[in-house]
Amino acid sequence: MNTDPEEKTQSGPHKILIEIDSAVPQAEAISFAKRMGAPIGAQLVGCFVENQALMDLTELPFASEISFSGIVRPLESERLVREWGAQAGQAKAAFAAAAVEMGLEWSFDVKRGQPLFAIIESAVPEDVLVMNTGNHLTSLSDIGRALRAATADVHADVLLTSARRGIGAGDAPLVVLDDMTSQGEFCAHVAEALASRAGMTCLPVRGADTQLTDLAEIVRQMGASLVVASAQSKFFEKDDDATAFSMAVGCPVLLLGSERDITS
Amino acid sequence: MPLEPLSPDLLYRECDVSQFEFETTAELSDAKGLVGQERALDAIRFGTRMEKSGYNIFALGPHGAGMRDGVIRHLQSIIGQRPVPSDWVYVNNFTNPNKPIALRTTAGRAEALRSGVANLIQDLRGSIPAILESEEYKKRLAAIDANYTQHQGQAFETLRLRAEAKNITLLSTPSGFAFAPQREGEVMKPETFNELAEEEREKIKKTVGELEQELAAIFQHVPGWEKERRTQVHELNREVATNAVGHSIHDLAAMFEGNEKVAAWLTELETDLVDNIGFFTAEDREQQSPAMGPVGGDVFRRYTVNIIVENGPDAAPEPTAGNSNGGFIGGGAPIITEEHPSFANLIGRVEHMSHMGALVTDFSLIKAGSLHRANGGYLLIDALRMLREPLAWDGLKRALRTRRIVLEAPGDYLSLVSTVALEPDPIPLDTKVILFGDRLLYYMLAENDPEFRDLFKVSADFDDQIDRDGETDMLYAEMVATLCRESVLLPLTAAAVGRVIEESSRFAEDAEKLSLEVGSVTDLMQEADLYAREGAADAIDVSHIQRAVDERVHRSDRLRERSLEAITREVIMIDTEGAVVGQINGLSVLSLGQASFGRPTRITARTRMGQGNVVDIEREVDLGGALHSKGVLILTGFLSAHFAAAVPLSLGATLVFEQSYGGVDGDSASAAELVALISSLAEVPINQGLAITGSLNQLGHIQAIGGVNEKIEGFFDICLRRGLTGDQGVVIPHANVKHLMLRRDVIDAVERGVFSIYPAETIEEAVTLMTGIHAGLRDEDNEFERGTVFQRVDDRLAAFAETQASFGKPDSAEGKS
Repeated sequence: MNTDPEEKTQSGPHKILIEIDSAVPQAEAISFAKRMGAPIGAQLVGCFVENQALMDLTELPFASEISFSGIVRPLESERLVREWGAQAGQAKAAFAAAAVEMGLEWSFDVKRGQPLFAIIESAVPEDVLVMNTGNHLTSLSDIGRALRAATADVHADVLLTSARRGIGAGDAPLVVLDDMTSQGEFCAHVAEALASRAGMTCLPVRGADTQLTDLAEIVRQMGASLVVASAQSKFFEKDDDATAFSMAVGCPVLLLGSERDITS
Repeated sequence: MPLEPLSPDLLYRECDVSQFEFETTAELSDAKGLVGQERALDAIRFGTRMEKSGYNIFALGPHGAGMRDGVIRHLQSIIGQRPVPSDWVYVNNFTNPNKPIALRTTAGRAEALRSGVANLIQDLRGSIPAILESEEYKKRLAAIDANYTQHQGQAFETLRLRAEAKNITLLSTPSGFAFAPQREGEVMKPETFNELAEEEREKIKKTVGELEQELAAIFQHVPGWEKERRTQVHELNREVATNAVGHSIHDLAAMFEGNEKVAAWLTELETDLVDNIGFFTAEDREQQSPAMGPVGGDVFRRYTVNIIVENGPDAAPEPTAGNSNGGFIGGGAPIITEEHPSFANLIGRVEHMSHMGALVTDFSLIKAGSLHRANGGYLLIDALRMLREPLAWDGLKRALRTRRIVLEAPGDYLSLVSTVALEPDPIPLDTKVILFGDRLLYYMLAENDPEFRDLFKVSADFDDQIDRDGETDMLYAEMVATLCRESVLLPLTAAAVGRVIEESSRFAEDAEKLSLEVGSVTDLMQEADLYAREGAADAIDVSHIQRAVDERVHRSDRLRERSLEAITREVIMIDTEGAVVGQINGLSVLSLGQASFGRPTRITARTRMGQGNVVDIEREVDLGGALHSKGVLILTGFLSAHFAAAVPLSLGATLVFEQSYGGVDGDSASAAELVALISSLAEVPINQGLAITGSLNQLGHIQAIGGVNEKIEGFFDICLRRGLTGDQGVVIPHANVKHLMLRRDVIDAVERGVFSIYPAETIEEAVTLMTGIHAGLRDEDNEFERGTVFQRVDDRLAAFAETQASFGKPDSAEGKS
C-alpha cells in the first residue's frame, strides 16, 4: 500500500462514492467532487441504498408508515419497492446531469442493505466515501461506526457532509488539523495538495491538547469551507467525535484513512 | 307711374377710402376683440366669469366667422388671473391594484414626487442588498433557521430517543417514516418477532402505535413551526427594511407636508417596500413566475409615479394625435384645443401591453385626456367633430354633469365586456368647455337633447355680418390689419382695404352690411398677397385684390361657362329679344361647391277654362319643393282674389320651368310665374329682353329674394354674349336694392344705358313693364280700366266662368283639386 503523501496526493482518489438517500444528491458532495475530483479525473459513483431493515419491517403485521403530512398508513413491500425505484431513477438522473456537467466519468448503483455501510462494501483504499451526517435519524454512534469501518478497516477517506451548500465560497480557506503527530503532518501535506488543486488557501490548526469544542470554534471563526484531518487524529478520541466536530464546524470534514502507523 | 331703372350709383356701394388716415395697414394697431361680435363676446365674458356648474359655452355662428380665434384671444387675456391648476399623478394602490390612486400636488410638484420616489427606489436597490448580504443580517437569519431546524430536529430526536429507549428505532421511508422494533441495536427480523410471546408482540405493537401517533402529531406541528419561522424572517426583514426605508420616506414626505393624500400613500409605499423586501434581491426576483409577474417584467414598476397632468412652468406642450394645438398658453389656467375629440382623447385611456400572449395593464399605462389637461382651465372642441365620434358626447356630458373624470374603456362604458379592468380614482373636474358649431347644430341639440341646455347654458351667438358705416369701416380696417399680421401677409394699402370692404359686402350679399366670415376675407387676402409678392410689391393694393377676386371666379367658372354655352348654343332655350305670350325669363342661382352663379330659366304658363286649379307641373312630378309649391299656391290665391272675384274661378292653368330636370325650390320665381299666367290669360306677350325675380304675396307685393347679384349677372351674361340690344334688363324686388353689389361690367352697361335694373314693389309694376301695357287699377265701379292687362284677364276669367256655367257641371278631366 503506497502511503507516501506525495504519491497519495498526486494519484488522488480514484472514486468518489456518494450515498444518496433521497432524489437530490448532496450539494456538498457534488461541490467536493467538482473541486477536488474533477482536476484529477476521479470517477463519480452514486449509490442509492434501499434500507433492508425497511423491507424486513413490511413483513410485520403492524408495519405502518407516517407520511410527511402526518397520515398513517400500512407499509407495503410492493409500494415500497415502487417508491424506491422512482426515487432511485430521479436520483440517477440528477446525479448523471451533475457528473456530465463536471466532465467526470460516473456510475450509479442501487444496493439493498444498511445505510452508511452499503457503500463501504464497494470502497477500496484511496476512495472517498461521502457520508451525510445531517440525517436526523442517523445516530452519531451509527455514523461513528461507519466512519470507523471505512477509515480503519478499508482505509478509505470519508467526507462528512451535513448541509446542502457547496464547498469553498470564493476565498474561504481549507483548514487542516495537525495534531503534531506524523499523521498530522501527513494530513498537512495532503491538505496542501488538495488546496493547491482546488485553488484554495490552506491554513493549519496545530495543537495536541486542544479541546474539541474549542477546536470547532477556532475553525468556525476561520470561516473554513473544508476541514482535513486524520480519522485517527488525537482530536477524535471517540467514534462520535469526528461526526460531532463536523456538525459543530458547519462545513464538510474530510477524514483521511491510512494504513500507516500513527505513532511517530 | 312706369318703373324707372336704378341709377348706377345704387348698383354698387363703393368704400370711401378718403376716410382712412393711413397709407397701409402696417400703421394700424390690432383690432380690439372681434369686430361686430360684442353680443357674442359679452356672452363669453359672462360664461367665463360664471363659476357655477352648467355654464359651459356653445359658440354658434357661420363657419369662418373667427369664433375660435376670438374666444382664444379673450381667454388669453384672462388666464393670467386664474390660478395655475394642480398637477395630477396616478400611483399604485398596493392593497387593490385594480383601483389606482389619484394624487394631486401643487403645480409643478408632480415631477418632484416622481423623481423622489424613483431616487428612493434606486437608493434602496443599492442599500438593501448590501444590508441583506451583511454579516449581521446573515447571522440573524442563520439563527432563525437554526432555531427552526433545532426545533424540528429536537422533536424528532426526542421521539427517536424515547423510541430507542423502548427498543424501537425510527426509519426513513421514501414518503415518510416508520417505526421498527429492534434488538441489540439491530432491527428485528420478522421471524424473530414471530417467535416472541404473544404478550410481548402486543406490547411492541402498542408501543409502535403510540409512537406513530406521536410522530404524526409532530408532523402536524411542522407547518406551524414553518409559519413561525417565516414570521420571524418577515419580522427581521421588516426591521431591516424599516431602517433602510424609513429615513428616505421621511425626507420625501417632508417635501409634501400638508398633502394628506400623498402622505398616506407614502405610508403605504413604505409598508409595501417593507413587505416586499425580497424584490431587492436578484434571487427573489428571478423566482417570480413570468406569467404571474408584473406588467413588463419589472417588479419595481409598482413604485413608479405616473404623471398625467403637469402644470408647472417647465411643462412642455404635450403633442397628442390630432391635437396640434394641445398645450399651455402662457401661465395661469390652461387653454386646450382638442382637434380629435374622440372618447378616449377626451376622457383619457388605459393602454395595454402584450405579455405572455395576453393583454395586461396597470396604473402606469393610464394616459390623460383633454379634460385632464384642461382641468382648471378651458377646453375648446368642435361640436360636429365630437358628435361624429362614438360615445364622445355622452362621455363629455357625464364628466360635466358629475364634475368628475372617470376613466373607462368604451367597452366597459357600454357594458360590452366584463373582464377585470382598471378602475382608477375619478379626478374632480373643474373646467369650462367651449363648443363651436353652426346654428343648425346648436338648435338641434337644444331641441333634442335635454341635457344640453343644462350643461351649456351660455350661447355665444356670433353674427355673420355687421352694419356698414364709417365707424365699422375703420374697425374693419383694423380687423384686416390684424388678419394680415396673423397670417404673415404684406400690409394692405388703404385702397386695397376699401376693395376688401366692398368685397365683404358682396360676401354679405348686402351693400349695407359687412361680412364677418373672416375666413373668406383671409383667403382673399392670402391670394392677393401671393400676387403682390410675385410682383415684388411692398404692399397689397387694389389690383392684387381684384386679381384675387377674378382668379377665384375663374377657377370655379367651368360650370357657369358650360351653362352659358348651352344657352348661347340654344341647347337650353332662352329668348333675350322679342315678346311671347305666356313665356317669361325667370332667374335662379346654382350653387355647386365653390361655384355659385345665376342663370335664366324659361317659365311658361298655359291657361284654359277649368276648375280654378293652377297646376304646378314641377310639383306634380315631385321636382318641386315645398317652398316652390307654396309660391304657386300664393299666386293662385292672388289670382282668385284679384280677378273675377264675384264669379267662380274657372281657370285651368299649368306652370312649368322649361328644360329643368333637377328640381326647383324656393318662391323667388313666384312673381315671374304670375306674370306669365297673366300674360297667358290676357293673351298679351312678355318682353323677352327682360328677366324677373321676386317672391309674391297674396296682395300682389313683390318681396325680397336671395342671390340678387348673381341672378342679375346671370341674365346680363347671356345678353352680353348675344350682344346687348339696349333695352334688356332685370326686374328685381325693390326691397333688394340695398343688396346690390354688382360686377363692374354690369354697372358699366347700366351707365352706358344698354342694360337696366328695375326695382318693382308690386305685380302691377312688373306686368306694366314687362308687357308694355298698363296693368290696370280698379275704378270706382270696381272695374279695371279698359285696355289694361288686368281688364283682359278679368274678362277672360269671366268668360271662362260663363262658359263653365253654360256646361252645367264641372269638367271631369280637371276635377281634381
